[in-house]
Amino acid sequence: MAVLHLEKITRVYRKGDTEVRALDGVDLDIEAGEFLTVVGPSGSGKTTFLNILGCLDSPTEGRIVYDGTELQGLGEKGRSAYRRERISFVFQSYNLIPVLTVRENVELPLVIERKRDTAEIRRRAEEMIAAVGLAGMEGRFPRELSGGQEQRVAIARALVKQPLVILADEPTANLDSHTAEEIVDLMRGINTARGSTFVFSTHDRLVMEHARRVVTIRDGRVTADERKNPPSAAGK
Amino acid sequence: MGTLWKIALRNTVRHARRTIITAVVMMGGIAVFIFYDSLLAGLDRMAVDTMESYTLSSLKIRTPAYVQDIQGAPLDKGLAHPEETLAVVTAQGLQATQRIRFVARLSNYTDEIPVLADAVDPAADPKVFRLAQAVTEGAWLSRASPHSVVLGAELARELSLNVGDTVLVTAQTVHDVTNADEYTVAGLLSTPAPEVNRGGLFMPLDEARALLDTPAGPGALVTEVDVALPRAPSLAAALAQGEAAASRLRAALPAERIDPIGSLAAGYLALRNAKASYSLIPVIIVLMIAAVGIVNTILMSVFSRVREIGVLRAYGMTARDIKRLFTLEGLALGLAGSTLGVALGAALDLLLVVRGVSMGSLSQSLGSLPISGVLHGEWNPKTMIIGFLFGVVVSLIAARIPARRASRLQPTDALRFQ
Repeated sequence: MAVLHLEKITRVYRKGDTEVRALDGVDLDIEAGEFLTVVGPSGSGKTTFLNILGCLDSPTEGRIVYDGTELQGLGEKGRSAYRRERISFVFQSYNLIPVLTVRENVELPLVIERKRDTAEIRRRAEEMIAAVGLAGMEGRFPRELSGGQEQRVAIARALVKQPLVILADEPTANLDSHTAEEIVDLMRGINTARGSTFVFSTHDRLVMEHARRVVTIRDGRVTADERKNPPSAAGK
Repeated sequence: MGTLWKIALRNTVRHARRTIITAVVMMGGIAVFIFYDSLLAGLDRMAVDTMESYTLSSLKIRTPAYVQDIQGAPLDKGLAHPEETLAVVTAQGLQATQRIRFVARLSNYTDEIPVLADAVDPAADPKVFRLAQAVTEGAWLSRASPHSVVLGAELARELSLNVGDTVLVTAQTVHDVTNADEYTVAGLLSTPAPEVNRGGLFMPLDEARALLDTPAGPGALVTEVDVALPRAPSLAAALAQGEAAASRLRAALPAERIDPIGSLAAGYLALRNAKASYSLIPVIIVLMIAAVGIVNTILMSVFSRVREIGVLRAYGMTARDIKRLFTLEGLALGLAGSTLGVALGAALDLLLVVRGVSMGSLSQSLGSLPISGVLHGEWNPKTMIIGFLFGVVVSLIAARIPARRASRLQPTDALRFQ
């Protein structure tokens, strides 16, 4: 069953008198547990696509359904609630909160969610930090970590509330190839072990190789949708 | 809320330099406010103390008719039973003295100056007023030196008079006939009250009664009974104490007009209230500068953390949470600045209360204000609380501008921000 269903999604921006169609009638179904990459040249609409999936942006036209819930037409509060409870992000520049420790950064989505008690928040954060291989670094601040470690923390932060879908915008773009491979392996492992759905935008060939499905976007349209079978992990 | 506080507080610590600069400006504003208030309260207290000690006393008892016609210092409207009035006051454990105020002319046989003279009880007057201690040349009035007067030093200088000189005092008697007599200058007064120095003429009650052609002895003319009250710890307490004593005396002396210092110095106190509101202007200016500093500091914080705002929004924080986050930063700045300001203000205030500042040269430049000697501040916790709250409220208001701006950032724009 599709966890995300997109139907004729169009996003138009206006820059003065010019109209830019960042997405132009995108139809796509994303199944639960997929490890999907969105590829395409710069300016093709990848980031807009992820922003719309993450309810950071709204489509100008079209229909988007997340796990049975219609997302288009949600107000500011509804979109915040969706982001808070049902989806997570991993960013290219990690974007950890510099004044919070590793543990506090990972706890943040649960704190924002306001649904769990402090002890449970802490337990789950420590479990996720251990799962990304950073046990013992809970008290460190982002400035005390390497880029790869920061991205691991960002992944732990994205996973801590156990969302159905994790959106990652070029998560390996700022990492060296060795670290990038470690991060992709980590996400792939989590995808396999937990069944979390990962949707990436990337230029990174390594990420594409690991993906089970590669969706190509050009000029705001899906031009290719390639499924790999068996999963790319086998080809590693 | 705990995490919002944590982020807000750690950001204020992280950007220590701009936090310190803003907090210091705020600290300065609040400290100046507390110190200034203490100084003004001290000045007021000193002025009222001077009036009580040299001109007005803590409380005056006169007839209602006398007060109604006070400009003319009417001799026919004195107290009906001055001895009984005095007895009622002293029965309450208070010090009191009798006086006659009359219009006179003082002459050195060449020049003549009109004055408002006071006939005093030389022995009892020093229990209420401090004139006897203010004699800088010669001596205070006594039975040992009959037919003598004590003059304000500036009045004496105006008429080129010295201790031992003879003067002519002219006045209208109670029968409205002009009478004059010669007196010896027994002493010269130099007080913090300019009107005493410039126009003070004091003579014993019996001498004045002879001059005014009114009999001495029981029931003799007295226009006012002046009462001294113990020194209260603050001006507000002094005013309250005066009012309470006046109420008690009004019950015991229903026919008389009882005026405590709050009524006697009403003109000065009204001026003081007006002055107090003007005195807040520089403090408000300093706090406004601090407020601009807070706006600037938090705006800088917003601009340096745009992507962070984007992340927080991406993780589901609402625009309201973002506004709250930056408002908390403003609050943290305000709390820091206000706490430091109150601490510094209290320290300066304590110094002013305990050690005081000499008003020697300043009193001359203040002209007719009855101020001189060492000025002590007044310890006023209410001012400190007001200063603290004002600082916090100003910070909260100032923080709202950048906080609103932060909350209006679109998550996509914020995440794209370089």
